Amino acid sequence: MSELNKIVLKQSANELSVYTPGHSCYLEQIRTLVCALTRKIGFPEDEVAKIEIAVDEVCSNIIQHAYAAGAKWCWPDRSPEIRMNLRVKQNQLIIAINHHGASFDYAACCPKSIDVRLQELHPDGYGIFIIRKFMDEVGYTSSATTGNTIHLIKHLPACPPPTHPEIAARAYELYVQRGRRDGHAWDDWLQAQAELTQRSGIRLPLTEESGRALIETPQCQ
Amino acid sequence: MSNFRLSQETRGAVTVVQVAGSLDLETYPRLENLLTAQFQQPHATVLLDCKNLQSIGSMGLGGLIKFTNQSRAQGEDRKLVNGPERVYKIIASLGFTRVRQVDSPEDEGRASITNPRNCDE
Repeated sequence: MSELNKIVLKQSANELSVYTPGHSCYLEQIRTLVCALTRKIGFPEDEVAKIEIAVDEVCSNIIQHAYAAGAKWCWPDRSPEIRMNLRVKQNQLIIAINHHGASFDYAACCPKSIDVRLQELHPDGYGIFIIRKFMDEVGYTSSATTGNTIHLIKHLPACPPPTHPEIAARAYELYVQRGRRDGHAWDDWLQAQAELTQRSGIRLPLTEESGRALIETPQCQ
Repeated sequence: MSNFRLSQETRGAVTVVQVAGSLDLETYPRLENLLTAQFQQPHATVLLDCKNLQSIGSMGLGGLIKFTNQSRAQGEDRKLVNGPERVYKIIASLGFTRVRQVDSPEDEGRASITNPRNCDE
């Protein structure tokens, strides 16, 4: 599906898929897309930074460890690749990062406490802690047919309830739409309230086209 | 395309290493090489200026810890300053600032150089 040495973006319904070669020179493009998407969804900048780093950690681990020379890849005949799928469902941002390198169960791994590592000034071993700390849920699936997938979930920022003037304005629109016929004020009000309450069902705000405009294929060394 | 930039300048007796962009798996080795060369200079005062750092992952965090280790091994004349708020919040939330003093962006002016007198030499 992807072309060698190129970033490929695909959009379907409410999902955006990003395919990149499994090389570290593509990390910046991946982060750029993730930041743009999460900002458009409405995450505050602190959370954008956390999601960015969690995704970067997962991809870095895949490149550095799963696709390491000598590692036991799921599909050894294919070039290293990272396949990322982003979607919004039930007030959650769901990021699935798939690869076919060596399997490693993030969800089952229990790293040493980061406080201990920091106190001892270990220079490495922080990745999994960062992923878990910065995402709300982390899952992992692996099979010979689908490869390895790390699932990252972040709850969307709380959407404030609609205000009285917002409901009134929408109810008036509904009244106009029905030909200004009286007798349905309460129905219009309830419908307006229901529509505005459901607005947190955000569509993925980054299209294939707008995502492509953000990035260009890096010159890898 | 990469937004990573690494530069170095000498201000009196102080060597200022400025890192900009994202410190990640791809870019960190360049900083590591530069700092390794700096640490081979005895009694050098090094300032690692992270003012224009945009993001940092575990590789970058590990790099800052290495910088700390090397500083402590050779005396406290290596300073780590000027992380922007976005990066500072990340490393603070991970607990790094509990084991190593990192001046917050608000301290930028105050912490600009370890020993200001050296800048005038």
